[in-house]
Amino acid sequence: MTSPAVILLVDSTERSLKVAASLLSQDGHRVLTVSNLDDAENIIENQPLDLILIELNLPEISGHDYADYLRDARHVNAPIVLWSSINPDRLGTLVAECGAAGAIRKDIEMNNLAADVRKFLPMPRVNDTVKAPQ
Amino acid sequence: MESHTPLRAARESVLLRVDYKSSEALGLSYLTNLSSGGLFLRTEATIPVGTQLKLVINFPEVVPPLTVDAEVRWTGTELQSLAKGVGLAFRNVSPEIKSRLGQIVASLQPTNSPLSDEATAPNESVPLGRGIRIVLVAASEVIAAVFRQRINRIGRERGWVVDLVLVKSIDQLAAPLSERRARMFIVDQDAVTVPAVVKMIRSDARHARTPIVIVGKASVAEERHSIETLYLRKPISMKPLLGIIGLVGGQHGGGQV
Repeated sequence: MTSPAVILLVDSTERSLKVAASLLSQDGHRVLTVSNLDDAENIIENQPLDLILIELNLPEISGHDYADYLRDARHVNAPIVLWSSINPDRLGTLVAECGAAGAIRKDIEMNNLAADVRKFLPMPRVNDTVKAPQ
Repeated sequence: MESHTPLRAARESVLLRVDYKSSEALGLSYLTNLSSGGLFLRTEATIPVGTQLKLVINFPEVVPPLTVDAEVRWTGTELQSLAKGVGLAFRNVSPEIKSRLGQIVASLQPTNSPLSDEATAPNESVPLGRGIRIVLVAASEVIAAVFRQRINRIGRERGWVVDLVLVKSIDQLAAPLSERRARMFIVDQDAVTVPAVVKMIRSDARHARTPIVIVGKASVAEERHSIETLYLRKPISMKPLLGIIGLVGGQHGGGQV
């Protein structure tokens, strides 16, 4: 038995948050959603996370700049993944610049979202209630 | 730089004579695009992108004049001065010319001594590079933290000490305005009433021409107050901002503006 992965979604679009949260929850994850950076900061400060998925086109500041800040100044250990529908080459450049773990292409249906997210998650953690064999 | 009159149109190239009053202008222009090896040429003339040029760069400190092949890569406005012109990329630069340009640029680097803002007269042109105050007018602590992180990183790389002050309302602006001269203001349109902030900044003689970068969601062209006021549309991207800060700081700011 494994603990569900805890995933933070940062996106200003309510619909995207709702659909993505639903898909990832169905895949067995615990999903936290925020639509602004203040709420994101609050969760990152207080909640261990296994993955942070950040929409590139946040309203206030570019998602890759925020990712850079989380990695470089906040020393966030969880993989940070950019989420965007922009040109993959451009997205790859931004990933390299900000030191993100990678990027997931954002499409309307989000059919592959759960599978894409799994690629960035660490190995499943053994739940405390299950003891290792003697 | 003061003049740039086409002297001769060859089959595929245009010869431009560029006279500089001093090498400073070349240095600043060159520095704005150092990574790609070019300069910004102020001109009212229409020179299409892709035009091949031969520049004869003539300024007092350098004899004989430098002759450099160049190509027009973009047309528009120089952020530092808001002057119209073209961005030129040097082509086929020989090691000798590259070396001479490099020496000129190196001679123009800011000094290592801390900048004394208090001794700076209004509108005085002072080489920057160490110790620049930037006032950020924004409501969000997170945005300020992101700014601080990126600016400090580029500062570490280039030996700057950046003093970033966060101001959350117009009431809080008076204190940093009176303390010392700021090199740049970044104003979040959603945090304050922009015209009031601009008016307050400009009412201080030391900040009559200090660059103000306004970031906002909407088009703000109609709110243009002065030639020193720049506008960027949200979401804020650090790269162009760092480029502008680099220009204000007297060095290339790490990114194409």
